[in-house]
Amino acid sequence: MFKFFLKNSSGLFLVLVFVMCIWLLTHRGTSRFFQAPSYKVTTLDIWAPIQKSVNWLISFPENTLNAIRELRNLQQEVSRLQLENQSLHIELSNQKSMESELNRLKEILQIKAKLPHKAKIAHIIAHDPSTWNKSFVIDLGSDDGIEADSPVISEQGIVGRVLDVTPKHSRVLLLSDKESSISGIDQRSHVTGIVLGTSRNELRYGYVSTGEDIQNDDLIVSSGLGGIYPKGYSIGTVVKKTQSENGLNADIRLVPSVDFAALDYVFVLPPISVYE
Amino acid sequence: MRIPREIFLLFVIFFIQQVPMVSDWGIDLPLIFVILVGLRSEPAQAAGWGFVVGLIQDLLSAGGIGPNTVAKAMTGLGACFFKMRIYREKVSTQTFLIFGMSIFHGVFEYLLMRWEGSAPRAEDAFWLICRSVALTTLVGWLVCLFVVRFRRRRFDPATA
Repeated sequence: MFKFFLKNSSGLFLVLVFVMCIWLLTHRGTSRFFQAPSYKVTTLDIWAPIQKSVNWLISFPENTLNAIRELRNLQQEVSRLQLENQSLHIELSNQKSMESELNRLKEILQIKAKLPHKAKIAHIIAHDPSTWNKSFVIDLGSDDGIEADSPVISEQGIVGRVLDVTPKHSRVLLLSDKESSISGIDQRSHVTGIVLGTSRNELRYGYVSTGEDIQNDDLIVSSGLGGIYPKGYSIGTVVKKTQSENGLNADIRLVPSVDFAALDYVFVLPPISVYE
Repeated sequence: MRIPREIFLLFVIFFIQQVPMVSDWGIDLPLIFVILVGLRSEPAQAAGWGFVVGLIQDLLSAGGIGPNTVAKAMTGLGACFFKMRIYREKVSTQTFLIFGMSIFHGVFEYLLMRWEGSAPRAEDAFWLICRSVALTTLVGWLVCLFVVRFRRRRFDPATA
C-alpha cells in the first residue's frame, strides 16, 4: 500500500490538487472558513510588510534620484516663494499706508465739510529755520486765492495767520511766534484778554487784571475782535496763573490747543472781511 | 576751502534745519556751520560766511532781516578770533567753542531784537537761549566727532 503511494505519488498529488480545486470551487460561497475574514487579515499582516520591504528595495534608487531632483525643484520653488512673499509684504505695506492716507483724507474732508466758511486745505512744506521765530511755509499761494492775513486753523484750533504770499506758496505766522497776538475770551468766565506768542511752546494771556476770574484748565477761544481771526475757535488752555511784576496784571500761561510740531496740513480760511 | 562743497553743505543744512523737529527744538545747524568754518578761515572769510548764512536764515524766517545776519557774522568772526589763540584739532575744544559761541550768538541776537523792539520777554528769551545752546552744543559735539576724525584721517593719519 505504502509502495503504491510512493510509486504513484505524482499522480495522487495531482488528483489531490484537482479534488481541492473542485472543493474550493464548490464550497467557496458556503463554507464558514472562507467567509471568515481572519485568514485574509492574517495573510495581509504577514504579507504586506514583506511586500513593502521588497517594494522599497526596488524603488529606493529611483526614489533617491527623484528626491534629489525634487530637492532642486523645491529650492527653486522656495526662492520663488520667498520673492513672492517679499513682494506681497511690500504690497501689503503699501496698501496699509494707502489705507491710512485714505482715512486721513476722509478725516480732512469731513472736517472741511464741518467748517462754516469755505476753507482751503494746505500742506506744510517747511518750518522756520530760526530759533526765535515760529512760522511755516504752505503749498498754496495767491494763485490759489490765498490772501495775506487769512486765518489758518486746524481741527484742534487756531494755528496762525498768513503773513507773506507768493503765487505758489505762503508763509504762515504761528500763534506761538513772539510777534503774534490774538484777542481771546475765557469760555467759562468770559474774561477777555490778548493772547501773545512767546516763541516757545506756550502762550501768554496778557492784559488781564489780577482779580479776574481765570482758573487752570479754562479754555481760551478767539473772541472775533481784531479783524483777523473768526470767533469761537480754540486757542489754548490755562496752565499757570501768577501775579506779574507790576502787581496789576496777572501773568497767565496757556498751552496751545494746536500741536504745531505735529501738523502736516492746515485749513486756510478766507480773510474775515470776506464773510463778516 | 572749496566753495561749491560749502554751498552744497549749506543747502543740505538749511534743508534739515526746516524739518519741524529741528527748528522747533531750537537746534541751530547753520550756527554750527558758521563756527566750524570760522575755525578754519581768515577773519574776513569767517565773517563773510557768517553774514551769508545769517542772511539766508533771516530771508527764510518770518522775522525781519538783520538779527541772524549780524549775529552770525559776529559769531564767525569770534570763532576765527578764538582759532588764533586756543584752537586745537580736538573734539572737546571744538565742542566747548560751539557752546561758548552759541551763548554769544543767542545773547547777541536777543540784544539786537531788544534794540529793534521785537524781542520776547526776558524770561522766555532765557529759556529759548538755554534750550538752543544745549541742543546746538549736543549736535555740534556729534558733528565735531565726525569732522575731527575725518580731518585727522585726511591730514594727519598718524594721530587718527
